Amino acid sequence: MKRYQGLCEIGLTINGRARRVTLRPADTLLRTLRDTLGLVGTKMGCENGDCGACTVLLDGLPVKSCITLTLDAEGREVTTIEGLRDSVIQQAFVEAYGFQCGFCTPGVILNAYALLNHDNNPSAETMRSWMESNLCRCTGYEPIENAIKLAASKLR
Amino acid sequence: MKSQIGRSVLRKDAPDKVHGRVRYTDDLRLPGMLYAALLTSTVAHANITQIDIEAALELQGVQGVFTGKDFPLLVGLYLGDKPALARNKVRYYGEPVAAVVADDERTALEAVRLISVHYEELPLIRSPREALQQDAPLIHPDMADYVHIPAILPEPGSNVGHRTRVRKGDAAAAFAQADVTIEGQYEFPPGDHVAMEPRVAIAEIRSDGQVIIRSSTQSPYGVRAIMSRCLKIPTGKITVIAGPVGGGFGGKAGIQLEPLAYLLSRSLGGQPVRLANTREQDMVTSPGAPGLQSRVRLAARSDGAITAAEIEFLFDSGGYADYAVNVARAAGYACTGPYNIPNVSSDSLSVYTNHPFATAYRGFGHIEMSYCIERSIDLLAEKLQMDPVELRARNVIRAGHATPTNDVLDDNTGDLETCLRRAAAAIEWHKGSRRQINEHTVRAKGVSCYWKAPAIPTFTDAAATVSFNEDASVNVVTGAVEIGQGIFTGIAQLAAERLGIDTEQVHVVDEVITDRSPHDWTTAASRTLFMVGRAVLSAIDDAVAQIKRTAAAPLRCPEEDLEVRGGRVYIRDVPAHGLALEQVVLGYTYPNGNAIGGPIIGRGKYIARHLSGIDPKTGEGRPGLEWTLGAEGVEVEVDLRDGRYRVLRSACSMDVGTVINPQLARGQVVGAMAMGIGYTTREAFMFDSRERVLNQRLRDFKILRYGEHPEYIVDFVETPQRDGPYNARGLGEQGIVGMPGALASAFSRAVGVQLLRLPITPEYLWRQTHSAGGRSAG
Amino acid sequence: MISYDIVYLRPDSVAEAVAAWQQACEEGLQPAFLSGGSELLTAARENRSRPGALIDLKRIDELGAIVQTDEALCYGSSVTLTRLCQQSGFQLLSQAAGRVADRTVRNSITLGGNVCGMLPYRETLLPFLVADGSASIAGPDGTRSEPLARVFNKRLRLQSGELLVSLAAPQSAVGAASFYRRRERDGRIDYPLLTLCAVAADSTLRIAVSGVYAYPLRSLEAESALQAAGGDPDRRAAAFVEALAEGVRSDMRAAADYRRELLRQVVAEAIRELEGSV
Repeated sequence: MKRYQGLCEIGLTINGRARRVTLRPADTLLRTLRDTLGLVGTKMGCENGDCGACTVLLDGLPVKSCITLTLDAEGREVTTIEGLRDSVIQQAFVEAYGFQCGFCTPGVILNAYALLNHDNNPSAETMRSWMESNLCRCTGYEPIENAIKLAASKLR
Repeated sequence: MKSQIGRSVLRKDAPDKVHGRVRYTDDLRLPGMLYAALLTSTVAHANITQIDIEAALELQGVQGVFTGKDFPLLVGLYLGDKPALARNKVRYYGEPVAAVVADDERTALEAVRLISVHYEELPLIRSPREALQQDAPLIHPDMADYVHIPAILPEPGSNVGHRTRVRKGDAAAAFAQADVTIEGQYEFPPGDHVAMEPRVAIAEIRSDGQVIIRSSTQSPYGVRAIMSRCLKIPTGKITVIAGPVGGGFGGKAGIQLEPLAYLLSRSLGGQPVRLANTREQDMVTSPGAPGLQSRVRLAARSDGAITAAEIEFLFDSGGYADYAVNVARAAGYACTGPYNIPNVSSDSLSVYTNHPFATAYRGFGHIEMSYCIERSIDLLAEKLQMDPVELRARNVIRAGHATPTNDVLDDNTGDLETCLRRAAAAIEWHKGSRRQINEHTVRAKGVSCYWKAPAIPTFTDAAATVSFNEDASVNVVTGAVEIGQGIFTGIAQLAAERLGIDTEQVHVVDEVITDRSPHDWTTAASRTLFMVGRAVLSAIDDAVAQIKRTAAAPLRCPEEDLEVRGGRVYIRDVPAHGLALEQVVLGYTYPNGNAIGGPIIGRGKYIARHLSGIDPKTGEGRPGLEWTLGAEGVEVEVDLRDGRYRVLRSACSMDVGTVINPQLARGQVVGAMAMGIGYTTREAFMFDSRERVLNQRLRDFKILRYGEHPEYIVDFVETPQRDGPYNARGLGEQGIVGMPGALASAFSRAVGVQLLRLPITPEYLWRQTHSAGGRSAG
Repeated sequence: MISYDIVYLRPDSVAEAVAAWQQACEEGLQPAFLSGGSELLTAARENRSRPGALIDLKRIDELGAIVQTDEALCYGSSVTLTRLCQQSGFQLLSQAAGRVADRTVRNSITLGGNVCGMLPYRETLLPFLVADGSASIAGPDGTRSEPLARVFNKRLRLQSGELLVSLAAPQSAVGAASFYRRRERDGRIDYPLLTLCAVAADSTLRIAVSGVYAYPLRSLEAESALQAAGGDPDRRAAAFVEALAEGVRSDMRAAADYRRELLRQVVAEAIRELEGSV
């Protein structure tokens, strides 16, 4: 049985790279990414699991990093927005004006990325069941929907 | 070169935003930065009898613990009524009572738990009407001592923070002669903006006394001015830095966390102090959207001509005045909505209650006003048995008509009737406004008209500078803040159009620093593209004149023969004879080495034209720079068994003068309509019996989610605003303004009862359906 | 941010987890079992609950299994709701799991976390209640299997230091005709005003609900009343609702009378839909 208390040092795999971090066991993945590793593309919107701005991928599945302990990520692959470079989904968000203020965007894009990896021809209901995890206050969602459809069409 | 106007240029901030590379204020970590955390009030109205901070001070890592007595000055946007931390008394649930500053955030949070506060609860004021009762307790007994700007008219000895009176024509006489009159009473509770980025401010004071504020703000210059005025700091000793903002919607206009962050830093030798809201604090501790209670009476002739309106708006400003006093003023001067009503008597009040305080919210007075007026027009249509679209068309305001403040609209006025017809056509109004789908499901439609003018000071300004790089690309510096609206892209298009170059060649500096960016009033009120746009065009013109001056000598011609376009300066009638701008913008160098001209810097400015204050007795004056007019139509489907509904389609037709960037314009309108759906159906604070907010988490305060959005239909009418940049007028907020009216109309039609309050939830629809007069599913 | 310090323990087996609890108690740490974490971590951030030790159950293989036998389907308490939704083999459970929170959070929430949590809803328990399922519970004295009828009363009656290993549903119920409905205040990403699971088994309708009371409920009295009542589905549904105890929730999401009406309507729907199967 592993026991962590006080300040601990652990290894994490983030965006394909091995990182070493010092943390408190109570630290959430959100806090470690932002405050320790400076990966501030992951956003703090509510810290309550409600808004999705802090969404990252854990072994390819979206999770809300504000309600995930960093220790939970030990031995698993973490992907943050900094881990995606010029991907099809990102380009689609540019072309479809899929954001305005951009604050929810990293979480939205990571969730959409995972969705399209899971299903590159998602039905409207599948898109909804994935994307309703992320709040966006600016766009009214239509541009997000358009961006995902655009990316899906390019990926097929 | 194709025109840049009317083109969907990709957003300038797109690459960084989709890669998570934008740096918002919350992303900054400064060397030596300390972290603040707040203890907030657990009661809505109470005297603070004791605060015990000893235990908190003893916690290792705590640098200081502060309470109201440490910071005696009052701060306020228009009316100086608010201490940085509550002094002696709390006026709303969530009000900051104490602040801890510590080496790290967790220590600050732990220390907050160690502070104990004793309250002696006071009688509560739960609504504006309660606040206006004779024996109502005074929330601000010292109101007479508060400093305020001249346009705001507080009424000491009452709970009235401001009153705007409009008296136009003779309403009483018109009512006496009316064929038909109606009266409606409307109300809704306060709510919140729910920008995805919670507010944050970082303050530090350099050794020379320069105060540096980094903030998620729409108003860097406003922050500077108000801090200077209220905290007695010379303006020049304050620098406010505003990077990209994660959504504003009015909630980051005015002054927010900055004064407290500054006071905390000042108490700790100027070290950087970061004060960041949790989501829960952002919802209730920082200000939200005002609630309203209202009464509207309309008088009309039997042919549908509205002859008079008698209007009372009681805005729920909560514990402090903030922007709510000006929201009430805006609702007052716009009080009739976009209708030509010759006789008007209106009182619009901002009233203190023991609710979280209210500030600017998208639509600013107009969304609240519009809901009440549009509902009233529907009541009138019902009474007259007239088609609601035709009744509206009969009364739309046009050029030549006078607004409630007796300001006669000029030829720049949009074509509302066309908007109305098009919005109605978009939802196929002519095919019927209510249709039974099956035994228990109905589809119903609703329409509304709206208008909005920016509620701004008469001297609202904007400015811009442009400079050039060696490759002749252009740098544009303005005081505008990117809050998601895409302003830098719009600015780049205007500048590129004027120079006949591609927007790629225009770099818009994306951070406002008040001591090096030119002055700008505030990024709010849907005035930025208009005013900053004008300033940018004027800066480009100034630069072009300088380019011509430099080029005239080597090109050996009069300046007035020169043209600047497409990256060249050339002789208009001999276009081949010219110079590349690269050869001119940093000075021209002759073959022999002699140089002339020097770097070109274009200066541009704009200040609102012909605005005036309004008369305190009659409201007469010109408060509105430009009115954006439009109409909205919606279709909803309601299950009458349980009130569940879907918004099927939402159409907006708006006269915007000129569309600069169709995709950005559509984005603003669609986003505003979505927000309007939430505003109408769910976005409201709920209170317990002691006026404590129950839903300060996003789990409980619902905004629209993916999949709940309707089909959006957006349509622009282009009646030129001749004093706007390329004839454009503002459009950022307007799409929300008509939504509550249109939706309430559709829902009312569905259930067969005129709905008079918000939010319209399924439970409310169910109750109304099964009430007397409702269309019970049977 | 969680501002206080926590000891984190990651046992490799159920026995270790149980021992870890004992040990943490002896150290005065006030432990909590951590499964999905969505409730615990948000409560800890707001100091609504401050466990001194978190015993993370997610990496115990035994708790992550879905086991199928001839008699029953058995679900480990660490199985995530997303997995239940996709591959539970029990339609009602997939439906109930698939509407808790949102999809991203369901990648974290586990069956055990949802069933043993602090919230009143615990919707994934409903399918097991109507299936007459059983719970496998581990504690200092070993592991025992109990019918839910015995260990569930408003909540799973676990002793201090006990943990839920798995929930099982008999194959007979898994294969029975079933009915699921959920109603929210407005948007579907919300706590339920009402979640109802029903199966038609042994010529009766078994019905369990969440959201109506401060706990999940299966009322045998109400089921009997429904059975006994004659007339159309609306009358029988009304009889069901009539037979329920007082104390229907009234909160910021909905008033009690609205909840009761939703319940009546949904029960009537269930009767209509399952009538042929009873």
